[in-house]
Amino acid sequence: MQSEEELVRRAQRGDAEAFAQLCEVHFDRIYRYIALKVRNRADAEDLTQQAFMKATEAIGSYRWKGLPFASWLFRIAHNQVVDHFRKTSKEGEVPLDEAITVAPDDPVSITEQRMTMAQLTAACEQLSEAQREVIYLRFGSELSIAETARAMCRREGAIKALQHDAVVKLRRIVSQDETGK
Amino acid sequence: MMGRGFNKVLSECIDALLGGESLEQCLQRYPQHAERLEPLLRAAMDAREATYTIQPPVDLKVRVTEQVRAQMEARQRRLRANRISFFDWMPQWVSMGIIAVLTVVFCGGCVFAASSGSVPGDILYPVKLAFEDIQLAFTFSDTGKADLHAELASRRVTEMERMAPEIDSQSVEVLTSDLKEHLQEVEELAVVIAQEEQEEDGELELLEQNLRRNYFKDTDLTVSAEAKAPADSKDDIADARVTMWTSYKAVFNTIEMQRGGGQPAIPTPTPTSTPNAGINATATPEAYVNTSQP
Repeated sequence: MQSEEELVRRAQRGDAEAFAQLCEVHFDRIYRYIALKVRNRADAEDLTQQAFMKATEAIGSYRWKGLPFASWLFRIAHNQVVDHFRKTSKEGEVPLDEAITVAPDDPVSITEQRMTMAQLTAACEQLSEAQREVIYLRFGSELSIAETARAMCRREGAIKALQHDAVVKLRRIVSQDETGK
Repeated sequence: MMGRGFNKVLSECIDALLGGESLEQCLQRYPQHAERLEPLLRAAMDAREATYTIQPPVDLKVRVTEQVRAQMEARQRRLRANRISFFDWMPQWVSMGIIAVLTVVFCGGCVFAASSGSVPGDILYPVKLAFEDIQLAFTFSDTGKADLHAELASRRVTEMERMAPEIDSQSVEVLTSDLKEHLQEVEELAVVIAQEEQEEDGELELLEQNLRRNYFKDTDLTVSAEAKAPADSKDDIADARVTMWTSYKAVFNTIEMQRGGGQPAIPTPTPTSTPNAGINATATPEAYVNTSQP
């Protein structure tokens, strides 16, 4: 198994297979991040495809120093989403398309799931943009604190603080919802 | 101080949970924080579980991977057609070094001087770009690299203005894309510089001053280019200006965030000539730009 750094170097030298491997490794996370933001399956599919095509074009300009590869990819994905919202002017107005979620095969998992995607989306609406971004990157895409910091152009300490505030707020919103039921 | 310590603990526990550790194990590691940690970790895991109901369609992954592979192969074929195959097997820095030495020995300053005024489409333009790559490869400090990328971004605008009377859409696109890439590099380097910078260095400050100068100069140049351009390229140049503003603003925002946030002090472009031809009235930087765009 080659390291990601080696795969990136090979991809930069034009090795299509290496880039395809990188694409496979990061695909689910990038798709999930985009889907969380655009909340629509068709748009998420288009934008994921565009993000990887952009990454193919720009791989030559990627530099290891100072920016983990995952952060670089997520910034491209973020840009695609920004461009998308700029064209459609729909940011924050899009209801969740249930087709982006997949029900677990196991019925027990469904009953055990404490928070649905719809609840999470509704709760995230009440977070600040930066807090929401941290939730999507950390929990949706499992980026580390360092990767999240680089993807959001912030310091690690700021991300930890945002994460703390976001989780506290999320918990409060969800418990209020549960109490209100 | 306490809050900062707790944020660190929370982060570590979330990392551990994402890595497969159980909630109980995390709580045992920090018994003094267990009561406060538990509900937050549960909320974090609930959020994670909810997001995991989003899964990409399997066929999409296969399709995109294939498209990526095909695009890379096609690009590689195009590059090979334009490149000396002797250098293919070498690491990039070796081949660039050899190109540098050969260029200096055989062609030297004459070619460089001749190529410096070239624009896309000229025979010597690839030489100019190769010199730029060499300059970048031999610039080792982050600050030096950031300054050079800023200069090269601005150079693309100068070229756009120079070739404006005969410019076509493709040239505008090539120049804009290169300009954008250079500014993205500046943005990434600004983060590195900020993290390594000591209080008294002021390197980020100097970089920002440079960028601000370029920003106004480049805005004027695009306005001038638009005025000189053929009718069917005017809109392309107007779009290029918006892309340029967007990229500059992203850099300014990043620099401001590195200083600890606050309201970014974005300069408003005040082109000296008339900027209206072909420009959407709403196309101010503020109308187009996002705060965290790379």
